[in-house]
Amino acid sequence: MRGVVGELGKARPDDVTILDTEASIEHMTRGTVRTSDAVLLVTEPYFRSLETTGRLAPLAHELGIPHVWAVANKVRTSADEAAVREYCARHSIELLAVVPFDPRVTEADNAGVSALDHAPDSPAMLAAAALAQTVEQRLATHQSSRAHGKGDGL
Amino acid sequence: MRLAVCGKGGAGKTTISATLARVFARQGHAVTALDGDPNPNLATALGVPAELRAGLQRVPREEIVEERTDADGHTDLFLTRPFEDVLSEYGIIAPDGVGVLSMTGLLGAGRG
Repeated sequence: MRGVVGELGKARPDDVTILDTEASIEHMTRGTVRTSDAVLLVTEPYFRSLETTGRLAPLAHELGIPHVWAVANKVRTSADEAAVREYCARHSIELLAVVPFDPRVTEADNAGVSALDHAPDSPAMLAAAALAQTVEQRLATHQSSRAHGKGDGL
Repeated sequence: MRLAVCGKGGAGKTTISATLARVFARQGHAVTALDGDPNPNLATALGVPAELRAGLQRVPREEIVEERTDADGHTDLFLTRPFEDVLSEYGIIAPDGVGVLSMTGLLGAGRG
């Protein structure tokens, strides 16, 4: 069964739809995300968060989502980054971006304001902006290679 | 482009989602941000002021989605109203023109 998100995506086919899911694995198994072009698995560099990512990635693949990417978030040290890289490599999950820990993002959360407005030039916001560009490029490349390879557009 | 942002609670899904939404909108995309959390705060992370956040209503599934089952028994969902109507009735517009909808209770659709 096609999900509502897919319907919304079809309604505005040239546009961007971003679904912020609730924190549960069931959310994914119920097919909420199945019509997505890509799933971003946001993970912190500690064991339980990584384990959640490790469980979600195969579920996303099973749903047939073309791209399943990890995004490391709140990374404080090179050891943090190494831990995420090692976990992702071991579980064959592509790590698409590393977003550093940034106290100004926490400040924004605490104040109930947008982090992008609060600290637009912070390393975390710059990393997130770069992530947007990376996602767009990767999806554009994927779609054009599919179109050329199969001759059936999307 | 349809993106789903998933992960353990507290990992920063909402901040990442909101930032991506604003950045894509600044690049000229028409962006819709869907909040699937029962305790929605995506609008806050997008920078919607408190007085405007009150205008965000959960989208009632029965009003916008219709289930149709074909001869083979496959059930599919269809929007019964234009997207712009849904957004204007239930959603709000965040900075940079990002449309926000609260989808709690809707996103379970797709089981089976």
